[in-house]
Amino acid sequence: MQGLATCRVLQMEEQNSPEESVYPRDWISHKKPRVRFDLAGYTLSTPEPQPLPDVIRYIHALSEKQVTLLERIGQYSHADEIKFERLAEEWERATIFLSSLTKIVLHPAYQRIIGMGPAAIPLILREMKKKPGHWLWALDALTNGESPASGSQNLMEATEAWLRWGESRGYLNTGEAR
Amino acid sequence: MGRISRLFKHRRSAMNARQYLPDELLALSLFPNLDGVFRKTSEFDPLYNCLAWALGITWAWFSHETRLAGYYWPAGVPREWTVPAIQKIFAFHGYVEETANRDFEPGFEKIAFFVDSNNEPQHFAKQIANGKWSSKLGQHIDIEHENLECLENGDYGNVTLLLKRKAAGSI
Repeated sequence: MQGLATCRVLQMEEQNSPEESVYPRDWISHKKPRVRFDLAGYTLSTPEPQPLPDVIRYIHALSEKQVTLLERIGQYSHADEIKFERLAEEWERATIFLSSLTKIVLHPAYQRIIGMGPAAIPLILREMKKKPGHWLWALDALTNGESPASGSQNLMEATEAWLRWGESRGYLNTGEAR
Repeated sequence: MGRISRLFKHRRSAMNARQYLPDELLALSLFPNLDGVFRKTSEFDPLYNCLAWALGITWAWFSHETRLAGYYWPAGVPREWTVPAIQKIFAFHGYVEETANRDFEPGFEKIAFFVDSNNEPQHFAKQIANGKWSSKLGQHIDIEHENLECLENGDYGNVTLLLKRKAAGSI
């Protein structure tokens, strides 16, 4: 597009006709043409506007509606993953120095993760597989009190029990659980 | 001191400054008074908290929450995160005598209770054999620090209670 605009200015300079040029006389000596792209109308703001090729108009529209398109074609899981990662990172950063479990699980980001509903279960289990964490409260709330970790003596045992449960329910691919 | 020498002084300070590990920098971000008076003594570990570490335990996270498996709370102790309840836990381990003395006393081990403005326990530190203090920073690292003041006046509150017992092997 810039190349087309430059060609247009060069043509006008060759004509050497100020009354036909849309540029002031002092702009003729400038190397950059004063051309502005009107993307809303997909035309060049010149005396003889040239419409943009269809491919550029398509790319422009896609960049504005990308997230909406993702929702329309049903890629909810991707949006959930992004949301979970942001909340989990916020929660971990805010609670890493706390020793009271009550304070850890009552953090707003943690509660918003629980608010994501069952969609958060596989995301939590994948996070627990990377490293143990205080996700037991969330899993207990999201699974209506299922307690595959009952009898566990410590967090590691409870984590492993929940990962085995996740594999048996199909939340984790076979082999992902420890 | 002239302008040039003042600039050189800052460069010298930067070169002599201790190089902190990333985990230590994270601790410093919340507890800036730790600067120069602490060092990391373990890696990040969410499996035990400061209460467990003060008792010498690294295999359990102490929590009074009853609904969850995977957490530990001693039998016979009220299930509440309060100073009296936790003081009872330490009493089971011989920490019965209260003291106001923060200094190291040969033959004795001490525990410090950090309590916030709501009188809720936030942190526990233990004094070790070299006279310094050792703390588990939540889920983060263990550290060894020179004194208790470097963790006070922050998110952990202030020390309101010190307990001591005779060290193992002492007369």
